[in-house]
Amino acid sequence: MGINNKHAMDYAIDIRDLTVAYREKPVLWDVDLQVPPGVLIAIVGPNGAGKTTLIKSSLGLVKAAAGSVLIHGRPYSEQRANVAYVPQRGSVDWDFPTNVLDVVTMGLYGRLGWFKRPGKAERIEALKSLAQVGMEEFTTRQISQLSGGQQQRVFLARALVQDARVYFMDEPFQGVDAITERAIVDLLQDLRKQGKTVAVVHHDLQTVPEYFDHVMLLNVRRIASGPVEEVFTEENLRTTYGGRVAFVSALSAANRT
Amino acid sequence: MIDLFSDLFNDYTLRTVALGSALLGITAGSLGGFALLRRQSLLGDAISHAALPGIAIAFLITGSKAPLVLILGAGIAGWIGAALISIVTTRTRIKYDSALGIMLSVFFGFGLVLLTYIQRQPDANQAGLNSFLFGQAAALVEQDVFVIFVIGTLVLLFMMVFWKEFKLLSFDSDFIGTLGFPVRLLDHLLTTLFVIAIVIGLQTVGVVLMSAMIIAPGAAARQWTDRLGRMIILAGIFGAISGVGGAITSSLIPALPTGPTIVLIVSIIVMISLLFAPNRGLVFRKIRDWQAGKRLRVDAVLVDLYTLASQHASAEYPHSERVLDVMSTISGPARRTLKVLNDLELAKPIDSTHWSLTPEGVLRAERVIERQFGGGS
Amino acid sequence: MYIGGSVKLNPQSFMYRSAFAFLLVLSACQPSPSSDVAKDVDANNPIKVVVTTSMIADLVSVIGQPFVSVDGLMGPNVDPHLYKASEGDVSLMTGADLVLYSGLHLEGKMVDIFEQMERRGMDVHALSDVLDAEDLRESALFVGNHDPHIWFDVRLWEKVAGRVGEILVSYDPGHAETYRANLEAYLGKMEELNAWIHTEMQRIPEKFRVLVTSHDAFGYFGRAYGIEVRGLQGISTASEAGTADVQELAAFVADRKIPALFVEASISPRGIEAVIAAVRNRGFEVQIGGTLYGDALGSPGTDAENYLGMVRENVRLIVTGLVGN
Repeated sequence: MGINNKHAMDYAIDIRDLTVAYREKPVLWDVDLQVPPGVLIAIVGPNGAGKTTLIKSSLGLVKAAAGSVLIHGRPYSEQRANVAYVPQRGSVDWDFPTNVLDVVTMGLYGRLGWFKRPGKAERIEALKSLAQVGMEEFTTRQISQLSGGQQQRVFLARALVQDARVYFMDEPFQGVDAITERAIVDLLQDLRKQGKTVAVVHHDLQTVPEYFDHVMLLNVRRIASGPVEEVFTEENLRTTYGGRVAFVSALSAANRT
Repeated sequence: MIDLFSDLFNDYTLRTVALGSALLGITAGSLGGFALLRRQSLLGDAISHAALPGIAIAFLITGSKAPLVLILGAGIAGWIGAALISIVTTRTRIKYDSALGIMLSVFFGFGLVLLTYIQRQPDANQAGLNSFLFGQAAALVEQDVFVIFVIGTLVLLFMMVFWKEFKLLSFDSDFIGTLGFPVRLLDHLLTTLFVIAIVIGLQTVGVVLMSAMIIAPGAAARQWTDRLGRMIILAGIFGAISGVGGAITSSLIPALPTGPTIVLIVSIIVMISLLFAPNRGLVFRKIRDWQAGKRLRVDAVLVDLYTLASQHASAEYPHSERVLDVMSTISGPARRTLKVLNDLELAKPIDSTHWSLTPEGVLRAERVIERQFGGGS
Repeated sequence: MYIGGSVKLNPQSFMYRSAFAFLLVLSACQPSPSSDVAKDVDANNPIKVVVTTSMIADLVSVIGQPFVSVDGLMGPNVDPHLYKASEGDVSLMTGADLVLYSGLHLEGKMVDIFEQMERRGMDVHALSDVLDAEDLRESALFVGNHDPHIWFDVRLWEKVAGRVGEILVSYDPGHAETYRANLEAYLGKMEELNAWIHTEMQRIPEKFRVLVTSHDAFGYFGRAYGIEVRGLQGISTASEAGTADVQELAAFVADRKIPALFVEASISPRGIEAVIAAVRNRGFEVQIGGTLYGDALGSPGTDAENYLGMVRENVRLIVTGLVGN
């Protein structure tokens, strides 16, 4: 690979040449992404840009045609304990017969390994995470009875309980009320302050400058990535979104203020 | 009744058939519960139909009619069917339900062709292959039940050992992958347990009816509880009840085939569960909806009275029904709701057409308004 | 055709209507693939007869030889209740000169095919039609239907043999002599058989005169030769035995201490085995007396390869099993 090991160690997330094809159509093409530790990065792009695929193929959930993913200098497969995943809310059937505490406890199954059942220690951990997202009152609530924002917080707690160094989140703000959104942003920035790295697929361009310090613009290929002030420009956005000028200008105007 | 109960223990046939059917019900019901949650209920139907050619081929190759041999053939064919469905779904554009339908028909049709060919062979009918279509529960003997017991226990044991893995796999198969668990392997394991649960029941209820034993107990159980553990146990219990019930019923009425009777009973259980389960049952939902509607109308008219009165000096200023009818955005005459308000002592009639709020009603109206416009939930 | 009112017989319209009527009649008379007119039959050009069961095949061969070539759709030990005809079978029947079947829904899954062939004017005959209402046994369970296992009463089968002779003679009057001679000879043998059965059956002690089999195939046998008959499944093997049926039969066998039960060559023995297990649990050991030929003849090379041999073999097994020790 020819990566200078010293440089590799500098990045929390180091994705190189990632290519994913679906029936010969490229979904991700030769994508590179280097994210230094302690960064909150948004991944944005139009529909079909491959944002979810980027996460899924990095985590080995989707087969990549080519490319490598290093987490803190080591291949992802060796670093699972240090990586936590928050999937899209819609990827799960919320009518499943289980309660809030149970879902959060599931985040500890990796640590428990085969056959061991979760016990008192796991329960305490789960409750701690629930408190972090403000859901400690809801432990026995059926997940079908939760609002969108509450569901999202449960998913977050499930990731938090893993105590990872790197977090991948897929549209955590989708369909969530304003209060929950604010709470989640605070939580993410808290994580960043602790030196964790958080990569978030984000759908709302308006809030990128406000919530995130880095951003990656993706449309099958990597258009640009890096600190928001440098990368979130009108030109880059136009390249990514295909030149809907008014919309894009309004955005970069908002960005500059 | 007491006779029946003692028969259950003393009469060899009833005891054997009931036990075998109950064991089958428990195994199929429990695993069917997981299948239900994974949206794979119809897969059970496809697998049991796909088992038919396996039975025929097992007989053709070995010439043996030993149940174990035929069950093995059934299991292999069922597994291949499930694997093919998975391959077709992932590698081609064909959707899951189409793939199910295709596999089911192709395998089953092939099985029927083989059976028709076999029926012309001398001595072939000794194997009783045709009885695998609808089962022959009444012909169960102790050895058969022993086999079902051993295999069924193994299956349930595996299910319990891998409980948390199967739970997470069913809930969020992507997430479990990121924790380092081998998703494909777990999926294959669960599918294998599923196939085994299906094929051990084929001699009891047969290929065509087996899907009921897989789907119905789980669907019924889901109606009664929101906890996975309880749901799976309940599914097993429903399966057992159907098995025993079917055996008993067909022992009381001559010429009543046992397999179909078992399926009838489990279907009744499902119907009752769909209609009458608290919370999820249709009947209770209708009642709750109706009650909520009533509360809504009560609140609405209460607030209307208050709003109208607010334009006058007193909050208890009376207004005519007609006005309330017009004001109300909720269809239906206000009179009915006013009567309810009267019963609740929140409003009172001033004369034949005019109504006003009582002091209690005023307080209530204010609280409703506060709740609607004041805080959020 | 009466149209109503006065009809002016216009010569031209009359012509058209006659022509139309003629065409109608012509189209209704579809000639069967083998012509209605009897063909020239001899030993080198035999009558092509397609039959269903092996018993009928045997009968037709004996009576029709050497002027018939018989194709039996159902081989030895094949269950006629469940037999589904294939395309090959249908074309075989369509190309035949004569099609003979048993009837009374014995060939339960072929009823539609026979109806269709009759409608198309083919030479199809249900042999059981020769029997009168008093000859037949009513089915207790399926009201309006009769027990189709007529061949086990040798006297009834003699009537069927006569019918076969009739059909052959009417198809091929040229060889009527041969057919009648064959029939006479065979009837003689059947009378012998009938007498022999009566004698043999006397050997069974009164208390053991019960024939328990896989399905209700021996009703006529029981009625003709004085033995009570009990089947696990009903008259058709398409119905499934229920738990109650197994229980009742087991109770019956244990109470009467019947020495032997019988399985059938064309049916799985699992049902009877379950009965035996239940009987054993009631403290009585009952054996399987043998495998009877219920719905078909035995394989060629065995004693049961023809009708006389098959019946003899059945009776031998029954008597040996029930005489007891």
